[in-house]
Amino acid sequence: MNDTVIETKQITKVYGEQTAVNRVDLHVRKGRIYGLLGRNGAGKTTIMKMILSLTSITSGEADVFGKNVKGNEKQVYPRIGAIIETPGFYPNLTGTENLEIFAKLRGTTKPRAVQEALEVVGLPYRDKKIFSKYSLGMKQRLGIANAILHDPELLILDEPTNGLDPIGIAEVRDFIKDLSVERGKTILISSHILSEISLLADDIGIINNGVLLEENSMATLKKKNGKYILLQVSDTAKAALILERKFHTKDYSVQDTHTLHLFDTSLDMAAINKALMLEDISVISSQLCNDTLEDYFKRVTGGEGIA
Amino acid sequence: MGTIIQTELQKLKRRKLVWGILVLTTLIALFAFERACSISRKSAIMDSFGDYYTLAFKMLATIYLPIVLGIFATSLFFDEYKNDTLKSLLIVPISKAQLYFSKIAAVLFMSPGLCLYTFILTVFGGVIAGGFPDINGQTVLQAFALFVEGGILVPLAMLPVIFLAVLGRKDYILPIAATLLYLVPVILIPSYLMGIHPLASAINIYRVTSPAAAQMVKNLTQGANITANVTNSLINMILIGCISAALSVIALQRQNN
Repeated sequence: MNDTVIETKQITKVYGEQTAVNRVDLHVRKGRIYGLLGRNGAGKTTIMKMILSLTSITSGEADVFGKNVKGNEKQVYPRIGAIIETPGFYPNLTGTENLEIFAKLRGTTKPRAVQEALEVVGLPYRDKKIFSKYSLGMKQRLGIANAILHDPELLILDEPTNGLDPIGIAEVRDFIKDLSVERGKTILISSHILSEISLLADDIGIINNGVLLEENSMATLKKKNGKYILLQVSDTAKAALILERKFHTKDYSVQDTHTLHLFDTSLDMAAINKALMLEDISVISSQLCNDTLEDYFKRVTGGEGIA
Repeated sequence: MGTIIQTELQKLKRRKLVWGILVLTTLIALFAFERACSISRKSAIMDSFGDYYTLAFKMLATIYLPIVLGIFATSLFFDEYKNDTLKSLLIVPISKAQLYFSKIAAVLFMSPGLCLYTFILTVFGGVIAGGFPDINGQTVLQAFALFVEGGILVPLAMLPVIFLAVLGRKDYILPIAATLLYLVPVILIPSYLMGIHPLASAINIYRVTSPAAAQMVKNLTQGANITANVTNSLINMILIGCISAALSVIALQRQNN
């Protein structure tokens, strides 16, 4: 059974002579939180806009629920809740009035939909404060309330914690997690904050300069970037063969001709060194490393790193 | 579509622009009232109720309303971009055509609303100022017809400017400058533009509403011989209005969000 909710095939966006997004293949699976991680200007918002058909796709295809959004808006949009860039509302209206407008436009039949959405994000119902007087954090909360107002299956949230204080960030994070775990929502969330994505996402896509550098599950990434033995040797191909033959492990990755990462840290480093030297392989260094995800992202993004 | 129009009107709540328009409209009615009070009924320019209500209507419908509707329509489109609400509306989903026609509907509510408001103030003003021998059911009805006509025809005539408001989506200056440029020739040479320029065509249509309206148009055109046919003027307005609406929807659909 195909459980992919969002699938992009080689989507590209070109503005004039600048390629904002380059051949991105993205797969968001049902019931999971997909974190799109990248620096400011990496192309995260453009990808989300292309998925939602808010901007044209220069080439490639983007399907949501197995359909191209363009031409199927009436079937697809009611199943999506989204915040793209900043949450847009009418500044002369209160939060409740703003949500009532969107509830009416969506034909929301649930009588307490607005009140419940506001309660979920911790904003007061029927408050007299108008939107233009809201703090950035309140605006973000109202944006999230609007996105969940019609109980959509898929949430597309573009940097939803922007402007929130640390407690607010934690609250929104917990709330997004709950939406996924308890209500089975599929969530595509973008952020430039690594810690936020690493705490939330089940799957992760790393984007840099419009290119999706890696798409993987968070579990795999964590495994790849936890503890490992760094071996710097004269010949990694030969070293790999010895690891397989003598230590019966395939849990390694060859980085280049001289560097190898061995993830099975239960192995005896001294024994490995001895075995390698007996096979005429020079061991330049061997050490136990503990990479953080940040180190990994720095490497993947060519040393630029992510905030 | 009804819901979209309803929400369009809801969005106007607490809008300072709307309050400003109401205040200015009141001032126009008050100015006409002041004229009615200070000019003797022996003077040919204020010796009938027709003189009074056409004075109020002339100020309202020939200069003020086109400018106000131009600004109002521009703000309706511009604010969706400024407030970043367009994206949220599109993913409801609201189509660009629906969005356009809901804004036009708001303009169409605003325009007759202002005209009827001025009409009511004018009738009360006529009664309070007193001395009009012809103020009766028939002349009040004629005044009502003229104000309603203006309320419908002026926004129809402004559709080309609204098209520019759609084009200059992130800019107030272009449509407002266009409104003024659109208005100037009608003020200067209305009789030559009847059947060509929608606002001048509207003036041509007013003249068949009542004898007082005919006199008002005669004064506006400085007694020029009007050759333009009223039906042709109406066709001109509808045609240009439809073309402008179609172009606006196409322009909106081609715009990136």
